[in-house]
Amino acid sequence: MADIAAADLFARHYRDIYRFLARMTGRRDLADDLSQEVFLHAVRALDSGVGAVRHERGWIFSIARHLLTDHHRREQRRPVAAPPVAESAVGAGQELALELADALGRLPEADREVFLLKEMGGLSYEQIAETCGCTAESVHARLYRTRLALRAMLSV
Amino acid sequence: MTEAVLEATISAALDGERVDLSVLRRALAQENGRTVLASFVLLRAATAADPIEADERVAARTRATLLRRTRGWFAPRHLAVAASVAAMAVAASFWLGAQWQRAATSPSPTPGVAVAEATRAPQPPSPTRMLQFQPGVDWRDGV
Repeated sequence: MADIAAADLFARHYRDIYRFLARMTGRRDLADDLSQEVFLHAVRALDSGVGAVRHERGWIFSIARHLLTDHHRREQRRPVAAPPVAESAVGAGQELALELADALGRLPEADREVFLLKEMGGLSYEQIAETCGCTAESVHARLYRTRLALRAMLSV
Repeated sequence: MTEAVLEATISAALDGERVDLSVLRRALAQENGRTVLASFVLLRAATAADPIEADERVAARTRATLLRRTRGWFAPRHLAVAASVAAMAVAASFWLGAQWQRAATSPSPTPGVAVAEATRAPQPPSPTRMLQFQPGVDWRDGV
Protein backbone atom coordinates (compact mmCIF):
# COMPACT_ATOMS: atom_id res chain seq x y z
CA MET A 1 0.00 0.00 0.00
CA ALA A 2 1.43 3.33 -0.93
CA ASP A 3 2.29 5.90 1.69
CA ILE A 4 -0.25 8.27 0.17
CA ALA A 5 -3.06 5.76 0.53
CA ALA A 6 -2.23 5.20 4.20
CA ALA A 7 -1.95 8.92 4.83
CA ASP A 8 -5.24 9.55 3.06
CA LEU A 9 -7.00 6.86 5.03
CA PHE A 10 -5.70 8.39 8.23
CA ALA A 11 -6.70 11.91 7.19
CA ARG A 12 -10.19 10.88 6.20
CA HIS A 13 -11.16 8.87 9.26
CA TYR A 14 -8.84 9.26 12.22
CA ARG A 15 -10.69 12.10 13.94
CA ASP A 16 -14.08 10.40 13.84
CA ILE A 17 -12.69 7.00 14.76
CA TYR A 18 -11.00 8.55 17.76
CA ARG A 19 -14.15 10.40 18.83
CA PHE A 20 -16.23 7.27 18.40
CA LEU A 21 -13.85 5.19 20.49
CA ALA A 22 -13.44 7.87 23.12
CA ARG A 23 -17.19 8.10 23.62
CA MET A 24 -17.60 4.34 23.54
CA THR A 25 -14.91 3.70 26.12
CA GLY A 26 -14.94 6.94 28.07
CA ARG A 27 -11.15 6.81 28.14
CA ARG A 28 -8.83 8.94 26.08
CA ASP A 29 -5.79 6.72 26.54
CA LEU A 30 -7.70 3.68 25.41
CA ALA A 31 -9.15 5.58 22.48
CA ASP A 32 -5.61 6.58 21.47
CA ASP A 33 -4.39 2.99 21.56
CA LEU A 34 -7.41 1.54 19.83
CA SER A 35 -7.39 4.21 17.14
CA GLN A 36 -3.81 3.38 16.31
CA GLU A 37 -4.66 -0.31 16.19
CA VAL A 38 -7.59 0.39 13.87
CA PHE A 39 -5.35 2.01 11.28
CA LEU A 40 -2.59 -0.53 11.58
CA HIS A 41 -5.16 -3.26 11.01
CA ALA A 42 -6.57 -1.40 8.04
CA VAL A 43 -3.18 -0.91 6.43
CA ARG A 44 -2.23 -4.52 7.07
CA ALA A 45 -5.49 -5.64 5.52
CA LEU A 46 -4.92 -3.52 2.45
CA ASP A 47 -1.31 -4.73 2.20
CA SER A 48 -2.42 -8.32 2.30
CA GLY A 49 -4.81 -7.68 -0.56
CA VAL A 50 -8.15 -7.46 1.17
CA GLY A 51 -9.53 -6.43 -2.20
CA ALA A 52 -11.80 -3.60 -3.08
CA VAL A 53 -13.47 -2.12 -0.04
CA ARG A 54 -17.07 -1.37 -0.85
CA HIS A 55 -17.69 1.24 1.81
CA GLU A 56 -14.42 2.48 3.19
CA ARG A 57 -15.99 4.32 6.11
CA GLY A 58 -18.20 1.42 7.08
CA TRP A 59 -15.22 -0.89 6.79
CA ILE A 60 -12.97 1.18 9.03
CA PHE A 61 -15.69 1.60 11.64
CA SER A 62 -16.23 -2.17 11.54
CA ILE A 63 -12.56 -2.62 12.38
CA ALA A 64 -12.95 -0.17 15.25
CA ARG A 65 -15.97 -2.00 16.55
CA HIS A 66 -14.25 -5.39 16.33
CA LEU A 67 -11.22 -4.12 18.17
CA LEU A 68 -13.46 -2.63 20.82
CA THR A 69 -15.23 -5.96 21.23
CA ASP A 70 -11.88 -7.74 21.43
CA HIS A 71 -10.77 -5.30 24.06
CA HIS A 72 -13.86 -5.92 26.16
CA ARG A 73 -13.32 -9.64 25.78
CA ARG A 74 -9.71 -9.33 26.88
CA GLU A 75 -10.75 -7.29 29.85
CA GLN A 76 -13.18 -10.07 30.76
CA ARG A 77 -15.79 -7.65 31.84
CA ARG A 78 -18.73 -5.84 30.51
CA PRO A 79 -17.81 -2.41 29.32
CA VAL A 80 -18.47 0.21 31.90
CA ALA A 81 -20.80 3.02 31.07
CA ALA A 82 -18.74 5.61 29.34
CA PRO A 83 -18.38 8.65 31.55
CA PRO A 84 -17.95 11.96 29.85
CA VAL A 85 -14.30 12.62 29.21
CA ALA A 86 -13.22 15.69 31.10
CA GLU A 87 -12.80 18.68 28.87
CA SER A 88 -10.62 21.56 29.84
CA ALA A 89 -12.53 24.18 27.96
CA VAL A 90 -15.99 24.31 26.55
CA GLY A 91 -17.15 27.02 24.24
CA ALA A 92 -19.94 29.26 25.31
CA GLY A 93 -23.31 27.72 24.59
CA GLN A 94 -21.78 24.28 24.17
CA GLU A 95 -22.96 22.89 27.49
CA LEU A 96 -25.52 20.77 25.70
CA ALA A 97 -22.69 18.90 23.99
CA LEU A 98 -21.28 17.88 27.36
CA GLU A 99 -24.68 17.02 28.72
CA LEU A 100 -25.20 14.83 25.69
CA ALA A 101 -21.86 13.12 26.24
CA ASP A 102 -22.86 12.44 29.82
CA ALA A 103 -26.24 11.11 28.75
CA LEU A 104 -24.60 8.86 26.17
CA GLY A 105 -22.52 7.34 28.93
CA ARG A 106 -25.70 6.30 30.69
CA LEU A 107 -27.17 4.55 27.65
CA PRO A 108 -26.89 0.80 27.08
CA GLU A 109 -23.77 0.10 25.05
CA ALA A 110 -25.64 -1.19 22.01
CA ASP A 111 -27.77 1.96 21.84
CA ARG A 112 -24.78 4.20 22.31
CA GLU A 113 -22.93 2.35 19.61
CA VAL A 114 -25.67 2.65 17.00
CA PHE A 115 -26.20 6.32 17.82
CA LEU A 116 -22.49 7.13 17.52
CA LEU A 117 -22.05 5.11 14.35
CA LYS A 118 -24.81 7.22 12.85
CA GLU A 119 -24.00 10.62 14.28
CA MET A 120 -20.21 10.50 14.46
CA GLY A 121 -19.56 7.91 11.80
CA GLY A 122 -22.18 9.13 9.38
CA LEU A 123 -22.93 5.56 8.33
CA SER A 124 -26.16 4.58 6.64
CA TYR A 125 -28.59 2.17 8.29
CA GLU A 126 -27.34 -0.51 5.92
CA GLN A 127 -23.71 0.09 6.85
CA ILE A 128 -24.48 0.16 10.57
CA ALA A 129 -26.42 -3.08 10.19
CA GLU A 130 -23.47 -4.66 8.41
CA THR A 131 -21.08 -3.41 11.08
CA CYS A 132 -23.19 -4.56 14.00
CA GLY A 133 -24.48 -7.76 12.42
CA CYS A 134 -28.15 -6.84 12.60
CA THR A 135 -30.83 -5.68 10.22
CA ALA A 136 -31.38 -2.17 8.91
CA GLU A 137 -34.85 -2.24 10.45
CA SER A 138 -33.36 -2.97 13.82
CA VAL A 139 -30.93 -0.07 13.38
CA HIS A 140 -33.83 2.20 12.47
CA ALA A 141 -35.81 1.20 15.54
CA ARG A 142 -32.85 1.41 17.88
CA LEU A 143 -31.83 4.85 16.64
CA TYR A 144 -35.32 6.18 17.01
CA ARG A 145 -35.63 4.82 20.54
CA THR A 146 -32.21 6.16 21.49
CA ARG A 147 -33.09 9.61 20.24
CA LEU A 148 -36.28 9.61 22.24
CA ALA A 149 -34.35 8.48 25.31
CA LEU A 150 -31.76 11.21 24.87
CA ARG A 151 -34.46 13.75 24.26
CA ALA A 152 -36.06 12.79 27.56
CA MET A 153 -32.75 12.80 29.42
CA LEU A 154 -31.72 16.20 28.14
CA SER A 155 -35.18 17.75 28.05
CA VAL A 156 -34.68 19.09 24.57
CA MET B 1 -51.29 6.17 12.59
CA THR B 2 -49.49 6.16 15.91
CA GLU B 3 -47.26 8.87 17.20
CA ALA B 4 -44.41 6.36 17.29
CA VAL B 5 -44.68 5.82 13.54
CA LEU B 6 -44.62 9.55 12.94
CA GLU B 7 -41.57 10.02 15.16
CA ALA B 8 -39.77 7.05 13.63
CA THR B 9 -40.44 8.51 10.19
CA ILE B 10 -38.96 11.84 11.21
CA SER B 11 -35.94 10.06 12.64
CA ALA B 12 -35.35 8.14 9.42
CA ALA B 13 -35.91 11.21 7.25
CA LEU B 14 -33.34 13.10 9.30
CA ASP B 15 -30.88 10.28 8.58
CA GLY B 16 -31.45 10.55 4.85
CA GLU B 17 -33.15 7.18 4.66
CA ARG B 18 -36.07 6.48 2.35
CA VAL B 19 -39.39 7.23 4.04
CA ASP B 20 -43.05 7.37 3.13
CA LEU B 21 -43.45 10.99 2.15
CA SER B 22 -47.14 11.13 2.95
CA VAL B 23 -46.41 9.96 6.50
CA LEU B 24 -43.62 12.49 6.82
CA ARG B 25 -45.89 15.26 5.56
CA ARG B 26 -48.48 14.34 8.16
CA ALA B 27 -45.85 14.13 10.89
CA LEU B 28 -44.52 17.57 10.11
CA ALA B 29 -47.98 19.02 9.90
CA GLN B 30 -48.40 18.31 13.59
CA GLU B 31 -46.83 20.53 16.21
CA ASN B 32 -45.53 17.52 18.09
CA GLY B 33 -43.86 16.25 14.91
CA ARG B 34 -42.08 19.54 14.41
CA THR B 35 -40.97 19.58 18.04
CA VAL B 36 -39.57 16.07 17.68
CA LEU B 37 -37.73 17.10 14.52
CA ALA B 38 -36.29 20.13 16.31
CA SER B 39 -35.11 17.92 19.18
CA PHE B 40 -33.46 15.43 16.86
CA VAL B 41 -31.72 18.20 14.96
CA LEU B 42 -30.50 19.63 18.25
CA LEU B 43 -29.13 16.23 19.26
CA ARG B 44 -27.28 16.00 15.98
CA ALA B 45 -25.81 19.44 16.41
CA ALA B 46 -24.81 18.64 19.98
CA THR B 47 -23.04 15.49 18.83
CA ALA B 48 -21.18 17.44 16.19
CA ALA B 49 -20.21 19.99 18.82
CA ASP B 50 -18.81 17.33 21.13
CA PRO B 51 -15.53 18.90 22.21
CA ILE B 52 -13.65 15.65 22.51
CA GLU B 53 -10.73 15.61 20.10
CA ALA B 54 -7.65 13.51 19.69
CA ASP B 55 -4.47 14.94 21.13
CA GLU B 56 -2.55 16.33 18.18
CA ARG B 57 0.75 14.91 19.38
CA VAL B 58 -0.74 11.46 19.74
CA ALA B 59 -2.37 11.77 16.33
CA ALA B 60 0.94 12.79 14.78
CA ARG B 61 2.68 9.86 16.44
CA THR B 62 0.03 7.46 15.22
CA ARG B 63 0.31 8.85 11.71
CA ALA B 64 4.09 8.53 11.81
CA THR B 65 3.82 4.93 13.00
CA LEU B 66 1.43 4.18 10.20
CA LEU B 67 3.65 5.70 7.55
CA ARG B 68 6.79 4.11 8.96
CA ARG B 69 5.10 0.79 8.68
CA THR B 70 4.23 1.31 5.03
CA ARG B 71 7.56 2.93 4.22
CA GLY B 72 10.10 1.16 6.42
CA TRP B 73 12.17 -1.86 5.57
CA PHE B 74 9.77 -4.00 7.55
CA ALA B 75 6.80 -3.12 5.40
CA PRO B 76 5.30 -6.39 4.16
CA ARG B 77 5.94 -5.57 0.53
CA HIS B 78 9.56 -4.71 1.24
CA LEU B 79 10.00 -7.87 3.27
CA ALA B 80 8.65 -9.89 0.34
CA VAL B 81 11.11 -8.23 -2.04
CA ALA B 82 13.97 -8.77 0.40
CA ALA B 83 13.02 -12.44 0.80
CA SER B 84 12.93 -12.87 -2.99
CA VAL B 85 16.36 -11.29 -3.40
CA ALA B 86 17.78 -13.47 -0.64
CA ALA B 87 16.30 -16.60 -2.22
CA MET B 88 17.76 -15.68 -5.61
CA ALA B 89 21.15 -15.02 -4.03
CA VAL B 90 21.15 -18.42 -2.36
CA ALA B 91 20.13 -20.14 -5.59
CA ALA B 92 22.83 -18.31 -7.54
CA SER B 93 25.44 -19.28 -4.93
CA PHE B 94 24.51 -22.95 -5.22
CA TRP B 95 24.65 -22.81 -9.00
CA LEU B 96 28.05 -21.09 -9.07
CA GLY B 97 29.40 -23.51 -6.46
CA ALA B 98 28.26 -26.49 -8.49
CA GLN B 99 29.83 -25.06 -11.63
CA TRP B 100 33.13 -24.45 -9.89
CA GLN B 101 33.21 -27.92 -8.37
CA ARG B 102 32.51 -29.55 -11.72
CA ALA B 103 35.33 -27.60 -13.36
CA ALA B 104 37.77 -28.52 -10.60
CA THR B 105 37.10 -32.28 -10.60
CA SER B 106 36.60 -33.14 -14.28
CA PRO B 107 39.66 -33.64 -16.67
CA SER B 108 40.32 -31.13 -19.41
CA PRO B 109 38.48 -32.15 -22.56
CA THR B 110 41.71 -31.66 -24.74
CA PRO B 111 44.74 -32.44 -22.56
CA GLY B 112 47.29 -32.40 -25.39
CA VAL B 113 46.49 -28.87 -26.23
CA ALA B 114 46.84 -27.85 -22.64
CA VAL B 115 50.26 -29.52 -22.33
CA ALA B 116 51.46 -28.03 -25.59
CA GLU B 117 50.37 -24.63 -24.46
CA ALA B 118 52.17 -25.06 -21.18
CA THR B 119 55.48 -26.33 -22.64
CA ARG B 120 55.73 -24.25 -25.79
CA ALA B 121 59.26 -22.82 -26.03
CA PRO B 122 59.84 -19.19 -26.76
CA GLN B 123 60.98 -18.15 -30.25
CA PRO B 124 64.81 -18.57 -30.88
CA PRO B 125 66.85 -15.40 -31.12
CA SER B 126 67.84 -14.07 -34.51
CA PRO B 127 71.55 -14.75 -35.58
CA THR B 128 73.92 -11.84 -35.07
CA ARG B 129 77.15 -13.31 -36.76
CA MET B 130 78.07 -16.15 -39.07
CA LEU B 131 80.90 -18.70 -38.36
CA GLN B 132 82.45 -20.66 -41.23
CA PHE B 133 84.73 -23.72 -40.84
CA GLN B 134 86.88 -25.00 -43.70
CA PRO B 135 87.70 -28.73 -43.92
CA GLY B 136 91.41 -29.42 -43.54
CA VAL B 137 91.97 -25.93 -42.10
CA ASP B 138 89.71 -25.69 -39.14
CA TRP B 139 89.43 -29.41 -38.58
CA ARG B 140 90.77 -32.67 -39.99
CA ASP B 141 89.17 -36.01 -40.33
CA GLY B 142 90.55 -38.79 -38.10
CA VAL B 143 92.46 -36.41 -35.75
